[in-house]
Amino acid sequence: MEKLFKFICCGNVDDGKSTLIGQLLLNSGNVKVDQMEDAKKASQKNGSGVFEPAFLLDGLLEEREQQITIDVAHRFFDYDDTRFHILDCPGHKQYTKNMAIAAAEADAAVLVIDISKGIQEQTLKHLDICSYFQIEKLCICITKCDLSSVNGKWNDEKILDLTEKIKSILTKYKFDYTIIPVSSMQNIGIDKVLDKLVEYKNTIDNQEYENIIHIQDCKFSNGKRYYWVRYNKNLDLTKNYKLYPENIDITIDKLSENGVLTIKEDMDISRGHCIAAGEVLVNDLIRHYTIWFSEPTNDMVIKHGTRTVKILNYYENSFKLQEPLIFNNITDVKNNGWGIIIDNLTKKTIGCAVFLANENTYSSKSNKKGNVYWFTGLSGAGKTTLAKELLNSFSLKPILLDADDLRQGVNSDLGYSKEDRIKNVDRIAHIANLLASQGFNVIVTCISKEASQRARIKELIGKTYIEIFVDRSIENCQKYDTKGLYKSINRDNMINNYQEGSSVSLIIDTNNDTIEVSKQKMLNYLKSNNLI
Amino acid sequence: MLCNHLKQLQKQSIELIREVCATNNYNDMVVFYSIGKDSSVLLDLFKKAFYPQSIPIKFLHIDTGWKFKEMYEFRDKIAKEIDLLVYKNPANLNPYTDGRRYTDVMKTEALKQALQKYKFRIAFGGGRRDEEKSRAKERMVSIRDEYNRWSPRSQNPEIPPLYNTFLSDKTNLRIFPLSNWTELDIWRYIKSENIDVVPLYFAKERNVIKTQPGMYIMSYDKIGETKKVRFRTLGCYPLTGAVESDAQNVDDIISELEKAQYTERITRVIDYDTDGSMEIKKKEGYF
Ligand SMILES: Nc1nc2c(ncn2[C@@H]2O[C@H](COP(=O)(O)OP(=O)(O)OP(=O)(O)O)[C@@H](O)[C@H]2O)c(=O)[nH]1
Ligand SMILES: [Mg+2]
Repeated sequence: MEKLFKFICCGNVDDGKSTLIGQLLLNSGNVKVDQMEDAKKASQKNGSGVFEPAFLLDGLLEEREQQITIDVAHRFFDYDDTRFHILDCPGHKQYTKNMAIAAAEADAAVLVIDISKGIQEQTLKHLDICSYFQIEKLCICITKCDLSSVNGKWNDEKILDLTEKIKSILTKYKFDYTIIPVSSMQNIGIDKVLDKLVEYKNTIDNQEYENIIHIQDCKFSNGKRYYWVRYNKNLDLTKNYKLYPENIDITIDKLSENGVLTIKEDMDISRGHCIAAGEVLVNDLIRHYTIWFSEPTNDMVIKHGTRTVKILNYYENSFKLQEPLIFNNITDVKNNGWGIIIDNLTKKTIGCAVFLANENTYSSKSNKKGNVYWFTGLSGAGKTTLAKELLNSFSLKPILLDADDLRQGVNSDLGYSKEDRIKNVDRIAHIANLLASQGFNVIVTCISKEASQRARIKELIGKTYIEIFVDRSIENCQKYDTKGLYKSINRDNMINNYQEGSSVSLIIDTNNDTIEVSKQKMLNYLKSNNLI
Repeated sequence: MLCNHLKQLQKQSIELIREVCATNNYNDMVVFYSIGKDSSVLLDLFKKAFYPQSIPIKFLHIDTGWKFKEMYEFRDKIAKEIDLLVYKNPANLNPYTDGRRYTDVMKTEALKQALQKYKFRIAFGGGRRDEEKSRAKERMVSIRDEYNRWSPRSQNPEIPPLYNTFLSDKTNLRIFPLSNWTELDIWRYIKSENIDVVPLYFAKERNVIKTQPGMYIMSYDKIGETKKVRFRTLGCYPLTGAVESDAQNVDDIISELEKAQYTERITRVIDYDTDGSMEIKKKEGYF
């Protein structure tokens, strides 16, 4: 076979993943007679007796008894000069770790959504995980369409409705996706899924270069050093390579077919070194997003490349290591952008860390458009206070754009006439949108009391615009006028009535609620919308 | 010439072998050698992984006393190239009279005894995910407890190519470098790398006894009939089925397998008695 193509099948529990993959295997002629007999027997024994294609995948006794996938099943078939490697994931929340590890390996994903259940929490979780691991191609299957049938015909309205919902959710991500309604039981739509996968695999480029070599070990033969090495994509040996972490030039002599490397210089290179052409980062302080398989412990190491390094300090979105790793941002070089976290005592793998941009920089190639949290409301309503409360609730700290701050610089040429105020808000919206488009989350605090203007901003930013109206009466704002704003003549016209509008996502009532309560309300909103 | 996907499989296997070797002591390690086609490929990969040095790790054959005579001949030939240990459970059970217990004692128990005797904690094996439904759920680096038992639920989350190859006080490891290879891959690789295998894999007129339609077992006595058969898997001869075939060389085998209606498991009595029997055996400590 010319190519190797790996894809996962994921989605919420029971939405029909294994059934779909089973049917796909059947349709492509990849189920042998004895495998079929075995699955039929299991359907009799554990199911209703009706043949369940899922038993072609769910092979553990426990899986069969409970009719649920617990661990990833690996299946292989050859088609169109390609080795397809299927990873059928479990959907149940409890086994998310098994799904996550499969996603990390995959080139593409099939995500199933049961037509009668729609988009569930796990569906969103799986979408996020696919996105973290930089999966670009996504084939979404609306499953069990037969169950929606009215008078023997699929319920097109329901399918359309769900399709719209899916599309709206996906504006948050940067997947190249397609939506296919299917019924595995009626065997409708499955061939389209296979066609799509063939299309996806054709976009896989076997000629991609990654030019990063990790030294596994140093060996000697006849007094000469040679190295065992590990690398991911192809290597272009004509490039200029450097040795890391030393950051010195090095000349590759030869790399044999079996991964034996010799270099020209007489140098003492050992396991944990890295030889690369092109940019790699060397740092002992790394920003990360970690998927935890179990609780973090006091004694952890991180394994990346061929280095295993002790974690000195662990914070939610960064860690300090005893020695540097040699890595890339996951968005730049997927294969060199993550590591596994191992508990030093039990040697169990307890997490998978995805490396984000170094230090405080964000990556410009992030997969998702960032969210814009737009705090609106009268001066003194509590926008900035609440925004600051929110800042630390994110794994990646958002950027704060406070209208008052911007008036000190970018907007210092503007006064408080209606015209100037509109300009002021438009400029802030423009900056926020630019940042969001590059993957940053942005928090804006800005009075922006014209409803029509906020509607325009919502349109500009799109689905990732989240408007939080901090509602406090003028009387209360004046009463607690700590900044003395309402006494200022310049800002006189600010006390005009605030125009409520339909663009609002969440209203926080600061007349009655304390900061703590308001914060909790915001967090609940973010959580229920899967924003944190 | 190896085709692209085989090159990648070979690279993945060699990288895994080296990663385990680079992070552990050779004395703790052993390669399980079953004399079959997968073992032949595994041996070839070990040679390549260590080239130009020779393999510094011991190989281990668990003998039951009931292997095919052609397998013993082949093993003795290979033993000249590698450091091969042979272990046989002194219990000496008999496949005809001891039934299921035979496999448990002579294979699973024997394996555990040998690992204990030589204090091996990391054992490489030629298992493939496409062989069987519980193996399809297996990790490349599979954790076994101190008693060498498998538990599907306590496996490490594993993301190739970053393997967790560390031992703890309470765990042993089984390593499966051929996890992602299919039966066809094995034969394509044998062909392109010109790897020696036991002649029983090739069709020949043999003296056999019919056990069920299309399935035969070898007869080393006068009884039986002559049929042109070959073996898709090799184990203990009373428990291994032969199939009728005309495939006399590797090319023939490849084209036969491209059209095969059944998996190779059907020729193994051990895995075919009850639902989940392989899983149960793995949980008891089998490979
Ligand atoms: N009517 C109908 N039922 C289906 C269809 N697809 C799956 N099912 C049923 O849905 C149930 C769950 O199917 P599975 O394929 O096991 O679901 P899964 O997503 O793999 O489940 P987990 O892996 O445990 O998360 C089974 O009872 C299937 O028979 C379909 O197209 N139509
Ligand atoms: Mg399933």
